[in-house]
Amino acid sequence: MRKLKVLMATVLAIGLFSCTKTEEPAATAKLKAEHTRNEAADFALEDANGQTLKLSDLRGKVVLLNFWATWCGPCKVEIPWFVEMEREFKDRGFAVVGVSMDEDGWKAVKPFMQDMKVNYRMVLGTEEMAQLYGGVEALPTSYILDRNGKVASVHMGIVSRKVFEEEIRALLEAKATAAAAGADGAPLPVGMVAAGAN
Amino acid sequence: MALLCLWAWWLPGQISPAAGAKPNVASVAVKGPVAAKRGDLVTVPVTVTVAKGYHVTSATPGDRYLKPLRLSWEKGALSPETPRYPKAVLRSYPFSEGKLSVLEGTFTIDQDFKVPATTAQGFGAITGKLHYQACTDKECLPPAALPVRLSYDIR
Repeated sequence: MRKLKVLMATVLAIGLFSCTKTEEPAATAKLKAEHTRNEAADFALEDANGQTLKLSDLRGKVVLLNFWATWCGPCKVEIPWFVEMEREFKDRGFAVVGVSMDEDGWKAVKPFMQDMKVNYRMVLGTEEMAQLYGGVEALPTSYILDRNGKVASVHMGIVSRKVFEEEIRALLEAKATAAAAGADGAPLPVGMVAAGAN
Repeated sequence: MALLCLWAWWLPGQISPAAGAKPNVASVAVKGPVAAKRGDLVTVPVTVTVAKGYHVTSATPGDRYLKPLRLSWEKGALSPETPRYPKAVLRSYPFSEGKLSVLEGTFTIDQDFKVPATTAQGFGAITGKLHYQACTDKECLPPAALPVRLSYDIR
């Protein structure tokens, strides 16, 4: 009987161990292999300056799409990093796009942007648009898109600055490979999901 | 093994933030009916429970961008006074520069109601909402509101 109990406990322990979630913590997420990347849903929304920002217009750039809100503490930590990344990598074909999920709209977001000296483009997210990105139930959530507008990585919750920078650098360097393959300077293939959430 | 995995997956108490559907990380309970006489002042404890691993911003966050905890009531036969929120905990998080004023676990908000002399006798109910905004040490959920209902018996 005792042997049976020990056996059952062992099977249970092995079973539970094998059921442990295999997804890596966000802080160590790696870029998805190129052939497994899905296209990011397109959207067109008005930015803080009243100009329409269409995600697909950024094709050819590495894009960090950051969902955030003014009431989100962890988001507040990442924003100064994004300000610096925008400054550092902008000339290499990189852009940060902030998507605020604040219900209070620009009234809350614009003063915050001034306080944080945000230097990248910002739009107000909508429920429809968030649905295109899996609902965005928790903030911050960041999508890093490659130059073809495909999702190379997704981070839910705060991530270290190092992880962001490593991924962005890797994607920026990937341009050299693509350019070498298409040395005629032809534009990169276009085929983004047309799912406007205006 | 497949059954074992399925069982393990359904183990209770596992709330996974940012996993599809909006997780319900707080609950609120009010014991009723509250018996009172016309002209009385009654205190009703409103018990809030926040899921393990989460905290909610307190009623006095000390940051204009944070969403404070707030208990509000619809107009009804009872007149609510300003709620008395519990003392907040000042806690440091990896993402915060300073300490944040938060509430965790189970806590009580004391709510006083005046029973006007003109209130009709008998059973009734007053409804309200608990507005809160929850985070873990890594991420935050959107501001949410839970319905609150207090039944009473005016004698």
